[in-house]
Amino acid sequence: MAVVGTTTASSNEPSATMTAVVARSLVNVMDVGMVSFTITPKIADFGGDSLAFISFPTYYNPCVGDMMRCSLYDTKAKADGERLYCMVAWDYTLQVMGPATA
Amino acid sequence: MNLHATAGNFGVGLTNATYWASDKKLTEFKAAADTTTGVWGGKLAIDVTSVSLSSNALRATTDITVAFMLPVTTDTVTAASDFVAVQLPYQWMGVSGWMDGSATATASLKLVTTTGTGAAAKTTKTAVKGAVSQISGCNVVFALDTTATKLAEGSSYEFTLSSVPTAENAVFGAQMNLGSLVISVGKVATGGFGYSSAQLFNALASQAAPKGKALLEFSSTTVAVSRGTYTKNAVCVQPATGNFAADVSVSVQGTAFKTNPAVLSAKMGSTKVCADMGTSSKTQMSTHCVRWTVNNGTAQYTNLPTLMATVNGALATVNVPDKVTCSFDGSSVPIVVTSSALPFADVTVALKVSIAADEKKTDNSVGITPTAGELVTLKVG
Repeated sequence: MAVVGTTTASSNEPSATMTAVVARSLVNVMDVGMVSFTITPKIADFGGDSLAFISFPTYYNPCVGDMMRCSLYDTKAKADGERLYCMVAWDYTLQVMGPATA
Repeated sequence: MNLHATAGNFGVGLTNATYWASDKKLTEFKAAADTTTGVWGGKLAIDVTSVSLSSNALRATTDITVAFMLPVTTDTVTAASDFVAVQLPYQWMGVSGWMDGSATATASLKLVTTTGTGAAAKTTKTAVKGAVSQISGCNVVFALDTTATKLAEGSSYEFTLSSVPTAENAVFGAQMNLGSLVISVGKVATGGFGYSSAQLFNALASQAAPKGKALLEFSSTTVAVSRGTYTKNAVCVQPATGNFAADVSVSVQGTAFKTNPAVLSAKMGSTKVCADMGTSSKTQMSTHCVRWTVNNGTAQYTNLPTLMATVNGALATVNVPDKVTCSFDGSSVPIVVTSSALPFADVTVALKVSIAADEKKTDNSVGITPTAGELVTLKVG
């Protein structure tokens, strides 16, 4: 997923209608922490057949992290919800499988 | 992450598994700005005086106890630290239960104070209130309670991570002594400032099968399963070396995945036992951690490792003949129904009359009257 020469305003987006916002608890180099993505899909719900690919800036590790735990965040309960399987698809790129139900 | 002065962008793309499998394309994409810079916080290696494990058996559980002292830094950067984090060595290959949420981590922290010297020395351990606040496959962060006295430089502590599932992989378990366990401290609000250096304390012991037991393995720890059907001989169980030294039976845990037969039974002396494996057509297209129970042979063999099952959406085909030969005035026509894969749930096939879509509504089934309610069922068994 090449994101060459892109900005948050314009990029090689197949559809620019979705929204994505990043927050993270990582502060210092070598910290262990969480990066959260608030994503609003516009074309289809994120369900059991869905995939998400997230490319990380290159100051993160190429393997992103070791044995990461990915989950949906329950905004009402303010806690992790369903765990999602995720893996490094290729350097700096995380592949996240969709939840059991949308 | 590495030191960086300027925050970059994440790229977030969405697609579905079928489209990705065929076209490798996204359906939606958005770039999202990272939040801030990352700085170097470490000043001086934490003085780890010992690391001990209650068990070094593969596929078991262990308590990891780390004794450490926070050294006094020039700018007291680790003073008032409010979290302690542990990273398991790479050779541990993480804890799959932590990763998929089927297991939790339990940790505790104690302040260790010693009064007196020599024979009069007295060591007191005082619990520091806190709880595990973050967890991944190989990281655990223990955050101190807001009411707890924060960590102090020059003080000694004992951090215990309880009931940690040990390594599952025999090759990497044997190399555990080469691994680097990392313990770090810092402040939740401002990040980590103190890190241990594995070269400065004792190595972990290698992990192996418990004494008297041999390793039980899958022929492959990853399988691909098409949802809605059973995949033929998807899973095979065998001893790590040689033939089975005893009768062994294993079965899959949970209800999401099933095997055919339901229990894999191997006789003493056999080389391996295999079974078909399937899952419902409703199962998400993802990689699932599938866990197993050894029912028989537990005195001789260890548990099985976690099997990683990748579920895809490939469809199987139900085949019916496109023509049949009828005998005039005959009473029945034999029709054979087959499928390219064994269905996970029963599939029923019914014969119905065929009326062409032409203007005359030609009856393609003229002379044939399907018996009402007569169904062919494709099922396991």
